[in-house]
Amino acid sequence: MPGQMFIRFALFQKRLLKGYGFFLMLCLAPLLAAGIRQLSGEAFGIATIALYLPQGDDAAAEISERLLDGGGVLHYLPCGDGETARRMVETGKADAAWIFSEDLSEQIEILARKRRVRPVVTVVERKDSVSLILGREILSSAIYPFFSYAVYAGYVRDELGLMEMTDGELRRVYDSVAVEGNLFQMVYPDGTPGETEDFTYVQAPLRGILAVWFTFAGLAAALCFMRDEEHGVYGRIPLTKRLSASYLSGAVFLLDAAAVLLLSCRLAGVFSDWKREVVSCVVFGACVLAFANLLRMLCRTPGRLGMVFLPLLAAMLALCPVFLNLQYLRAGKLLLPPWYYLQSIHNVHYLYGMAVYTVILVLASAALQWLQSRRS
Amino acid sequence: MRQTAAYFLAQLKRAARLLPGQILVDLAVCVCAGALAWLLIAQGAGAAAGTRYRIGMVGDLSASYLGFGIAALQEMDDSRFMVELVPMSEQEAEEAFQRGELYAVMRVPEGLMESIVYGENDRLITYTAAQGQQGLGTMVMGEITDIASTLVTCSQSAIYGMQRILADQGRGEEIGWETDKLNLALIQMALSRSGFGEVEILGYGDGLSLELYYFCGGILLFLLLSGLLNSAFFVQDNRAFSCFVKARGVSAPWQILGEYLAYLLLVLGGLFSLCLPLMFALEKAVLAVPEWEGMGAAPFVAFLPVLLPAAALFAAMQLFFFEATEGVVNGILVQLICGIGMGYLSGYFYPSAFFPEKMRVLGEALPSGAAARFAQAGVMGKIPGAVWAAVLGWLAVFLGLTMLVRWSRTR
Repeated sequence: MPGQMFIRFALFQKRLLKGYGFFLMLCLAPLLAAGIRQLSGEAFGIATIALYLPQGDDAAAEISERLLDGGGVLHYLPCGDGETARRMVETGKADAAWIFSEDLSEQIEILARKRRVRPVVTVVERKDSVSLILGREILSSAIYPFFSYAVYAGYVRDELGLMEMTDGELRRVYDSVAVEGNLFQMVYPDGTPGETEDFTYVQAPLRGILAVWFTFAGLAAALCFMRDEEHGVYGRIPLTKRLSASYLSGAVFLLDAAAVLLLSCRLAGVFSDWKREVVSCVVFGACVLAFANLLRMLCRTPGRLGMVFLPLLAAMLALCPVFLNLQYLRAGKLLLPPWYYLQSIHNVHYLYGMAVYTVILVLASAALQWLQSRRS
Repeated sequence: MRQTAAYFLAQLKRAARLLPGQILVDLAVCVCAGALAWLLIAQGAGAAAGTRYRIGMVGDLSASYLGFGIAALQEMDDSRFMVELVPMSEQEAEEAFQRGELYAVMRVPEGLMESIVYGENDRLITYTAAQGQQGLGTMVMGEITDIASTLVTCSQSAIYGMQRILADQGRGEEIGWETDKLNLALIQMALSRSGFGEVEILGYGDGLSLELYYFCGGILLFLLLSGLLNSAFFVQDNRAFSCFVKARGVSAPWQILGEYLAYLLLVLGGLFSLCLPLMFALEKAVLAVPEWEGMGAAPFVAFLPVLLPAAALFAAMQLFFFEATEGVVNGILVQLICGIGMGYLSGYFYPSAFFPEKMRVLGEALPSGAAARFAQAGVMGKIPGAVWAAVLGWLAVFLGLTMLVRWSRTR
């Protein structure tokens, strides 16, 4: 029996890989993943900021270093003067311009001594937006270290009456006690720290795109089985055993697609660790197989199944966390295999959920198969 | 010629047979997209009306300083308009997070305040903002926590510096009082940090509003992926039939032309059935696009002809994919990965301004990018010659390639 199964498996594989179309289809996913990872190596951001900082100013140099070397979600374009920065906004080359005062250090010191917050930067925007509101927060946090130091220095001299302390002494004491590092740490539900996975928001949707592609590979396998059925390939298999035959042929199809899914995740840079990825992928594969077969049995004809594809794709792109994470329609999400897979990478709860959903789908398919064979 | 016309008519009949089902599916897609748009608008309107992102706070919240900090954030900081911090138990937070009622869960470790007061900062506040891998939202949240960290650690440094100086001066008894004073001054300044910038809004732009950008992007995405919907058109396609038709005098280019025109009519039928509900929604002001506000469906009706070249381009591309991949199954999967991949690179999902320069250039050069530039220029009322050339060039390339593939198959 295992020998026969292997021969059937090998024959199915040979048949699939014989045609260059299937091979091309398999190659496209890793190509897309690797290409986007390659392209995401450059500087980019959710908003482009034209930055003008005066030359030779200590505060400006510190702020510039903080903004330009800090990574983050904004993209900065340093400008030679304020007018150039403003023009970049006017011509649409930048979303906003941050034009710092020429006497930035002096202004901050005066304000810090008075302990007042007043504008030291002109922020020029074409139109207000959420990303620019976040940008202004980033701007404030870039100025704040210099400002808080100036407040400390002013406080020591004015409030503590230590006017004789030099800048050097103040700086030395400050640096000796300076607190650095982040107070927050992003963790996944399984406790894995967020920084263990290093990828940008440009790469982030790739796992979702690949999961949707994988689901459609399952649906394509079901379509393939239907066409084979029409051509009489499974004519010798009784109707009651067709379900297992469709699972076998679909599994062959999905095995190749699963290998490509894992490889593509690795190439895309969104891969976590082997054990977790393989387990999630195996359960996802089983779930997709059961899902596609249930849909096949409900639709009955290749034409009808084909017509389901576009609404299903729309539902997957909208409800699964591929590009956006909608908080509504949980009931709809529960029906879609990619939703479980995308959540299961860092949360074993969804892995169990996906396994339970797979069992439900298999039982529903078996019941439908029984009903359909009784009718015919 | 008569054979070619007969072949075209036969293809047209095939397309017509698929049209009723296709219209039904289009309506289903419209309902899905409409429900999604409505939910997104509801979410946005909720935020505008004061519905804030709820963040569950769990763990050791007993320290009075922490309570003061949370109260200050909720009462005085600018973030109060966006974020609501809700103290709750770990289990309640977990359940609410899984139900999607919380945007994130923050866990405050035991002894956090002592760790901050003594400058050790070895107890980190951990937060979970996504069930799956991090995306754009989580990365933005990371940026916000970086800002909060900077405010706290810089204030700490200033206070410890002042304390060290007082200790070195032998004025240890003043430390408590002076710490409170400096602390309050720094908190006041951190809370009014938005005053560092003087905002000047120019109030004009030559680009599209985000709503119109996504409106165009949504229609183009539908056209780009309509090959999935129309896959039934290619189910009966086989090499023997093409050879037979060729033997009857319809050469490969004419076969492709006949199939293309019939397929294009099918794509246009889909586009039309998508546009009808959109027109209705715009007319009844259910759907609002800032550039067309108060004008009903008239600007959209005027915009519709602009979509025709894009539809022609995508129809040619889909025909090529189905022809080149041999078999409808592979064709569907290639359509899907190419459609989503091209749509992503050309800014149909995230605005292309979010991407690196090279990716943006590639996205614009792709057929999906050419169609997007065409539609966007069409909305603005002026389509440059280069944009016309890009769309027509891609159309010619796909038709030529499809003819070439058919020619080699029927040789």
